[in-house]
Amino acid sequence: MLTIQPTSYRLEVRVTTAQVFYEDVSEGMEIPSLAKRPTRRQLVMWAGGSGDFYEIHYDKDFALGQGLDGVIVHGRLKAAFIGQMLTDWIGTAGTLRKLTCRYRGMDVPDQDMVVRGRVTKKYADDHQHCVELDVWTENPKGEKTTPGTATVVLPSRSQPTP
Amino acid sequence: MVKEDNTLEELQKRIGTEAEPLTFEIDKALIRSFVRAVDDPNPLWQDEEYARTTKYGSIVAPPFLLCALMTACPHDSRYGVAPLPVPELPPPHEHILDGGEEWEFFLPMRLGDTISSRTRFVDVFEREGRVGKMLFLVYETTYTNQHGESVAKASYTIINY
Repeated sequence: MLTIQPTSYRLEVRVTTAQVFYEDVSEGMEIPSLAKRPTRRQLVMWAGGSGDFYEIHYDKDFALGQGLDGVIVHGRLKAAFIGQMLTDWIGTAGTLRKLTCRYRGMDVPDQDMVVRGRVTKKYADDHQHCVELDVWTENPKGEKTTPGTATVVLPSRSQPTP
Repeated sequence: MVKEDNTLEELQKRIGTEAEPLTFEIDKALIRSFVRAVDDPNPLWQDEEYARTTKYGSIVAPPFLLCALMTACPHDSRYGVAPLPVPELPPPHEHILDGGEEWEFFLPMRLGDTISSRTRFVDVFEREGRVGKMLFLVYETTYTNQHGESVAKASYTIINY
């Protein structure tokens, strides 16, 4: 049976979302989070899309043989989720400059994951308006399994981007 | 396991070694398989009409496409991921952990761009960890488009214990 996902609805919401500006940002503020629940199917799609066919991400027997409790989510898929949250937030007028992350904790499929970010610093640099953030994925226990940092450039109301 | 001390020395001698370059074309199919896997419906990655109204003027690939593609994969270089430099000297210990990654994005990757990635083995060092000796292997990848412009840079650490 086909599962219809409300993609068109989400597209519409996204397109009409207001652009965030540098002036809207304050240090310490959290940016809109992104809810994820990666499925095994999604892990297989990621394996195919990325070329990372390491079996611990889709072959349960193999994963058990490696001492794991089952298959685990690709670290780089979580990094991509963080990238998605950031590009959602900065809109088309913003630019993602830098992303770092560490794969500190394993995540398992079919479990909720929340991708979050918090502004740590804002500054103007060479006519660019930069914002630095702490970013991470969080498991249902509230543990940060993929902590990292990001730098983005946002448009400024005082200096509109062309 | 075996000969790890020798391996560390051997690996240190290979610092600076570069892997075979890898080339990818940014096309709609590549972007589509990637954003479907991430489940990212952002129209900037796929909707030409929408993308035309933005500062980019055309579809661009999500920068974090580089989280997937053209990044070295320690587990098996037979697959479609960028080859590791020094493949003849695999990490000596049994376990491999991703130690962390860093991406810097300089220019957008546009539809039709050809991106070449070059991965260099830049450092190796040993530390005593809770589980014994841990080897850290550091790789750096540069990404260049068909105009010779630097598009992005990544660094990647493998922990081997």
